[in-house]
Amino acid sequence: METLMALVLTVGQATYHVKYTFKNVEATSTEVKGKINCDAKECEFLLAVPVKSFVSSDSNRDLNMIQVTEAEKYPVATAKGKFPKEVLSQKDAKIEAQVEFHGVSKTYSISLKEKAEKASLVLDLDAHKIERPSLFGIKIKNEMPVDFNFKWKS
Amino acid sequence: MKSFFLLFLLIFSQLSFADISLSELGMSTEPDKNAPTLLPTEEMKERTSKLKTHEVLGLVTLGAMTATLLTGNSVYDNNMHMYLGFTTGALYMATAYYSLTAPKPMGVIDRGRIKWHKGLAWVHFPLMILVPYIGYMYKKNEEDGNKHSSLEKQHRTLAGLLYGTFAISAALMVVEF
Repeated sequence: METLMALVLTVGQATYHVKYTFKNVEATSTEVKGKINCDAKECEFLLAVPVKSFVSSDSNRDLNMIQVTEAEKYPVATAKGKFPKEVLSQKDAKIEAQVEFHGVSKTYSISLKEKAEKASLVLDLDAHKIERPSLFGIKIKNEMPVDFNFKWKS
Repeated sequence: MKSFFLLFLLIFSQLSFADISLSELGMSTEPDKNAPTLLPTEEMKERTSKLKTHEVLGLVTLGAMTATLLTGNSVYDNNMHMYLGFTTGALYMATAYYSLTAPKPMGVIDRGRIKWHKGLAWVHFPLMILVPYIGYMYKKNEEDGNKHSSLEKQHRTLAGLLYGTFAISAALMVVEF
């Protein structure tokens, strides 16, 4: 198969949302990198984000996140997969992606919106062997939604 | 002809539909051995352990401080208020010890709630020394039949300020993720 079109991410942003009994917190990375290669029918993609690059409203939380996710050992989280080319022109779509995070790979369903300018998935922290942090003995929720914003350039 | 064929092969391989690699994005999943680490793993574990202990002791201290405050009016009947005050002071110092001795990575600038949590310590730490002292002086002068100084008369007000700032500091604790 021949690459007929290649899209490169010029602006990539990812935000994770942690849910806790008493409150929700979020952290954002603006260091998401990505590429899409398409032939006549199908596209393949790769997204990557340095785990250390997420910034929340609290420096202590970010420091703990780096430790919990072992960001020194597993510095990058990636998502890769394939989807039909027409997805790029659809307003909303669902695709599958292989997410590697904390050294564990798992397949997720990703919702794409606005012609792949926005995306979201819900990470399963236990599946990635993340020791969920707690406060007052209560752990954060296992499901962690992650939202993406993209600007692609051909 | 051979070089043309090799060139064709090279171009075709670049255009072919192979897996996109991380190196194309300028990244690697391998740990960067040259990158500065925040703290060695053992020290990070020590940090987590000490801050967890700080969290638990802080809550126990808040409980003891509440009890001390509630027994303030019984000071003329028994020594419960004084004993609870000593207990609170000891717990407070133990709480502070675990926070102050937890290893902290270099170059990390405090941001958000933790900044307020630490900032309030500059208020409740001196009060934690002053309030028990003036409470002791008040009781001593009361027993000796001496007049109370103006500072001793502020024991209740300063104790309220101590409790308020300590309680706010505890409420500002954050989820560590």
